[in-house]
Parts: sequence; C-alpha cells; structure tokens
Amino acid sequence: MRWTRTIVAACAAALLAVVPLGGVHAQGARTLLFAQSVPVTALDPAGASIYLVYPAGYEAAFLIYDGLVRFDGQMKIVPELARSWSVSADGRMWTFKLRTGVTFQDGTPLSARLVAADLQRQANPQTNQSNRPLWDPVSSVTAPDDQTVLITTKAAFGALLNTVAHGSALIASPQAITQWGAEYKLHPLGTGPYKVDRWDVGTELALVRNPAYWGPKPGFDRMVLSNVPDATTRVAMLQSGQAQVAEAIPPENVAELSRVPSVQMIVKPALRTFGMGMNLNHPPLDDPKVRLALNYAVNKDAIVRAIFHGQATALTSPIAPQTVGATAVGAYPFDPAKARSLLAEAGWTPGPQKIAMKNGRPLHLTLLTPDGAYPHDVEVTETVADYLRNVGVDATIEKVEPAVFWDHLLIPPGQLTWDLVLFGFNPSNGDGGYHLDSLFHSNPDRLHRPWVWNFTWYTNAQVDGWLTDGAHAVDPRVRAQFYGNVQRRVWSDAPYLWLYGEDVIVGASRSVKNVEVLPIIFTVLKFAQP
Amino acid sequence: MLRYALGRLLQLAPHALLVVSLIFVLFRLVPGDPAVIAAGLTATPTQIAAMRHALGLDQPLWTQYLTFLWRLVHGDLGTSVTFGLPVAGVVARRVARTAELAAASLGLAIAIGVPSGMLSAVRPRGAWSQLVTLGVIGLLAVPNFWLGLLLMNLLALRAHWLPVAGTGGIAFLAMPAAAVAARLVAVISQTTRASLVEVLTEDYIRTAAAKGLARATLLVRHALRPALIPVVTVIGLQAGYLLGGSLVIESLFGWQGLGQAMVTAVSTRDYFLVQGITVFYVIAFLLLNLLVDLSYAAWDPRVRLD
Repeated sequence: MRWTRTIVAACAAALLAVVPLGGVHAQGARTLLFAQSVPVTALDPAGASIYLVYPAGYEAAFLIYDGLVRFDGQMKIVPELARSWSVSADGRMWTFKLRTGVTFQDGTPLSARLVAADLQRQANPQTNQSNRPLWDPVSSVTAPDDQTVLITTKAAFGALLNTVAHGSALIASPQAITQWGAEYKLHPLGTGPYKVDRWDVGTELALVRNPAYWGPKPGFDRMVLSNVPDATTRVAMLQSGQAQVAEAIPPENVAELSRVPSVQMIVKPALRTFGMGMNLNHPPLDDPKVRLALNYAVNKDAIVRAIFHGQATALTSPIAPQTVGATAVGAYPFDPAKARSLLAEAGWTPGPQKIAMKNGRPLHLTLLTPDGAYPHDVEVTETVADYLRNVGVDATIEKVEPAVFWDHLLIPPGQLTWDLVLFGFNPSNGDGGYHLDSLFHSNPDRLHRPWVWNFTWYTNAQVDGWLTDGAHAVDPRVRAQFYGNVQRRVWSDAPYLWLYGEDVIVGASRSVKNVEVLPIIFTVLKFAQP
Repeated sequence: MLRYALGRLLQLAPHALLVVSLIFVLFRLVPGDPAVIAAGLTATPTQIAAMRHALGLDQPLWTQYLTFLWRLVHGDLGTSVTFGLPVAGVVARRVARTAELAAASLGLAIAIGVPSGMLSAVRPRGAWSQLVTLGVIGLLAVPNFWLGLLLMNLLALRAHWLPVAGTGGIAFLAMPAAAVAARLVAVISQTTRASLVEVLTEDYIRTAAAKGLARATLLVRHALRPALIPVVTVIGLQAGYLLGGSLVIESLFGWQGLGQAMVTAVSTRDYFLVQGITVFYVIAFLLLNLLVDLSYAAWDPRVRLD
C-alpha cells in the first residue's frame, strides 16, 4: 500500500512538472507578430529565391524597401519614392521625379543614379531571371539628372506603372548589392520603414523601426514575421491574441473568427482566378461544342457556396473583375440539359450506363489536380467530375503532389497526359494584359514547353493581335477596349471550364489599424498602426 | 568498453553507407527535375541546362554518386535552393531545436511512463493498474497531431496558460513535447509493467522480501533495475518515431526545427535539403541505437561489452 502511495506521489510530481509556471509570454505593446503561411527565405527583390516562396518574401520586402510607386489597398497606383511621373507622347519614355531627403537605411542618400542602377539590374535578364514578362519590355533605365529617373521601353508599354509598383521593382541599394554579391539576399538594404534586426532564415524575421524613415513614423517598434505553415495554428494564434495578423485563413474559418470580438476579418475578392484548363491538342476537347457543353454542365455557384462558404465568386470573364482592363463578358449558367444537347450536336449520344458515346467510343476525360497547391483543389476537382458524370462524361481524377504539378503543364503539347487540369493564376502586377498574355498568347513553337502558362495551347491570331495592340497602348480606355475583345473571344472559345475567383482572407487584431490587403494576395503592413 | 564502442562505431560505417546510397538512388527516382525548379518556373531551356550543369546533374550517375559521397564525408550536402544556403548550415541551425524537442519528449515520457508502469505492476489487478491501462490504450489510440490540436485548444485558447505556437522557452516547448511524448508514455508504461511483473516473480525477490528488505528498496533497487533493460530497448526502437513524429508536430506548433524545414523543402522541391535532412535523420537514428546498446552495460552488470 505504501508503495502505491509513493508511486502516485511521484506520478503527480511528474505531471506537475509539465504544468507551466508563469503565463503566456506577453508581446510588447508595440510589437506586431505576423503569422505567414510560408517562410521568408530571401530578401533581394530580384532573383528567383524570393519568387519561389510566395508571398512571404515580397510581404517582408514591402516593409524594408520602397518603390518608385506603390499599390494602395484598392490597387490604385500612388506615388512613393517618385513624387510624380509623366509619359512621352509615343508611350516609350517614362520620367519619374524623385522625392528629396530620402536615405537608405545605412545613411547613403537616395539618388536617381542609384535608382537607375538598381532598376537596370531588374530589367537585365542576366541579373534577374524571374518576372520576365514584367521586365522584358524595358530597354533601359537612366538618370538624366540627380532627381530624375528615365525608363525607356522597346515599344510603347501600357502596363509599365504596374511593373514599377510590383514587388520586383522595390529599390535596393546598389552599393550593398556590390558589397555582398550573391549573399545580398541575406543582407537587404532599402529605404523602407523597417530594417532587419534578427533573421533566422526560413523561420522568423524580426524587423525594427527605421528611425530615419522619410515617411510617416512607423507604427511599431518591432515586427516579427513568423512562418506558421499550419492554417489551424494561424487561426488559433490570432484567436488567442498571440499573433496580431495572420494570412491565408481558410474560408471555413471566417464565420468562427468573425465572432471573436478582438479580431477583424479582412476579406477581399482576389485577382487569382481558377478554371480547368482543357487540352485542345486532341479529341474530344478540340471540339468547341464539347468545351461549351462542359461549361454548362457545372454549377459554379454551388461550388462557391458549398466548398468556399461564399468566400469566392463565379467568373464572368477569364480575369477577375478588379483586374485592370476586366469586363464582364458573359456567364455559362448551370444547365445540364443544354450540356447534353450540345454534346449530342457534337455527336456524343448517351450509351450504356448513360455514358456519352461517339463512333463506339465512350467520352472519357482525365481531370488532373494538385493535392494541396490551391485551396480545396481536390474537393473542387471531385465536384466538377461529378457534374461532368451527370451529363455523360466518364471522368477520372488524377491527383499529383504540388511539387511535381508544374511538370505536367510546362512540357511540349505532345507529352500532355490530361484532358482537364485545375489551374489558378494571380496577375501579380494587377494588370489584365499580363494575365491574358500569360495564359492565351500563342506559344512560339510546339516542340518546347509553353512560353509562359499557355499549356492548353490555345491559339488565335486575332487574339494575339489584340494582346499586342493592348500592350502597346498607353491610354487605359484603349487598352480596356483591346483586352475586352480578348476576354469576349477567349470566353466564348472556352479553352477553360471557367470556375471562380477566390477571396483573399486575412485576420487581424482589432487594435491594429491600416492593414492593407492587396487583391494580389499580399498583406502589406508598412503603414500598420497600433 | 571503449574498444567495444569503437568497434561498434566502425560497424556503423557500412550501415550508414548502405542507407545513404539508398537515399541517393531513391532521390533520383523521385519524379521532378531539380534543375527546373532551381532555375525558376519561367526559366528558358538554356537557363535550365545551365542550372543542370551547375548542379552536376548532367554527369553520369556513378560520377554523381561518387561526388555525392566525397562531398558528404567533407560535410558538404549541397546548397538549398529555397534558402540559398549550404544544406549543412540549414541543418546545423535547426538541429538544436529538434534535439531539444526530442529530449523533452523523451524525458517527459520516461518521467510519466516508468512510474505509471511500476504502479500498474505492483498490483496488476488493482484499481490504479486498471486506470493506467485505460490511459495507455487512450494514448496509443490518439494520433499525435490530434492530441496536439486538443492541447492547443484547451491550454492555449481556453485557459490561456501557454502560447499557441512558436519557438522559445519551456512555455513554447510544453505542448509539442507532450504531443510527441504521448505515444512513448504508453509504450514505456506498458513495457515497464510487463517486465516488472515478470521480475517480481523471481526467486531472489522473494528471498529479499523474506529477509525483511524495505519494500521501496526492494522495488526500486532490486526489481526495477533489471526490469528496465527491455524499456531501454524499446526507447531505442522508438527513436525513429521520436524524430519522425516531430515532423508533423513541429509544423503544427510552429516549432522551427528540422521537421518544419523538411516540410518547406518538400513543398518547394528542394532536392538537396530534403536529401541532407534525410541523411541527418538516418545517422541520428543509427547513433541513438548505438547509445542504447552501450547503455545496457550500465543497467545490467551481467552484460559485458567486450
């Protein structure tokens, strides 16, 4: 009996040892903890490393660096390091007048010469391999005088301001880049409101206020950007008050978090649009009637309601409504009867087990989806497959790891193994021309991988012409006209089964003001105030 | 003893070579081209070819293998594409945190598992024993990530005793350590019980009791020590779980160790980092088992390591 008591006492002691002494580690009143879904691994605005782990690197870069211009929360382009700008009549020369009294975080004054040297580095394909569609149109960046930066493009380029507002155009110190060489991405030096204090690369980045910042006084003494890959954990950190801002909140958590009094939910329609790209290279999807039938077969609104809890919108154009140049061009309402009759017109008539047949062969389609690259990717694909079966398609699903997903898309057309593939594209410069060009401009040849993301191998000479004209126009109304033509034509040609545009969902503590959430999925805390 | 230890260490070398070679082959079978991801999604074929050359992936396989081994013995595990840093550096930076989590879990598991097993063994049919058995079944049945979520909900969200997630002192360590430890507590408790029940029926125990030895002394000094040998073996076998289990738990609790780096590396297809961490896990596993073997001598004087 005595032993029992001894052992019980020992067990109790062991358990007590686990119970914490002291409460939760309190964050200082002026510290902000930002829980990100992926780690910050590099802080050079140029180069592939920052692009690879998206969007954490750019979100950190927006705190450390400034650009000539920037996007505000409504994606309007507003002045930053440039006070004003103008464009020549031929649309090829863009002149930016610099703000005075700006210094880099090491005290070096900002000059037009330094800005030009840095932007020239971004434009040069030897020193910057990523974001090429944004930079290829630029031919040179020069500094005619100390306060003026001149960007010259090869041809008129209407989206130049969008390139200059993009994360890859943030201004880094050319001196620091020369000093550190390849290591520069670990030693960022900009003109922004926060600078690096302590950085455990890939896990946690601690920034401190830059006392010499030229703009409004930064709101926090410290900002800690922490990698919390698990969404449930990000939600819990926000709920408990441990994190003040958390990004990539799953749609199913919005209702629950909205009931937490200390939390504000920021939900905005994002520019990323989703659809199932179709393999146009061989039957049956080379037949436009079949592609239209598939578009009528799926209830997009039901997917938005059931899978995304309403935190998404069914598409009315290949690009999202808030993208520059977007026009609502139509809709494919859910109409299975119409889908079946379109299939019948194309020669596919119901056979055994209600599967559509043509010349004795069943209508078999393989649907490819990554498992975990996009929110609810597998559920969406399974639901689409069910809708397609309903109109007579023998649909099978192939799931692949996100890491190898691109290998199924970025290959020559003869090697494609799927009929439909779930794909989402975010035009990270906010421009519809970039979005449409990346997905629908004809590829140069059929022996290599697609030029950008046109893996459906859609090709239409008229669309190519409008895309070129749109890119070369500088007047937004003229651009919108060309891109409107593209949207209408592509929408009715249906190289995709158009689905939905997602919402970007960020949660923040009510005590933090001015959290900017851009529809291009970036959370910008540059002007956040306690 | 020292000679034995050195001999065993030498025996470890062919084991390690075999497993490392296996890892090399397996990683070449994994679908996906590391040169493509390293060059970036929008790279041109020329850039990809240049990257393939820079990574040495255009060499014949046996050259790649020999280079891999040669670099490995020099501590060079390649460069992580994601972090742009040497893999060895990324591993070194995080190994302490993973070790900390593993040690805390193991310590916790022993501190709860051994006494509860003893409690259960001294009166195998008693009420305490039944309670312990029930607890053991519960801990074995619960997946560790679910237990982690449960703890997070109770201790961090409701009670506000602990921070939800992050890397830091004991307050941050408590929940992930408990979540990893749960299964080990059950295994250690069960093994202690089974082993101790058997030892307690031995003649020398009866003799010791008959000569009037205090029951606590009898239990702890005479019975427990030999009974712990199978427990030590089990701990060695669970070393793999201790390292592998931390993968999920580190991600869940934002504990920034090797497991979390592994999750990031897999998602960005960081070939060399995944390979480097795997090599590290394998060698750690082999070393842990060696330590377990060596510790037998300390537990049981009949074991001679010559």
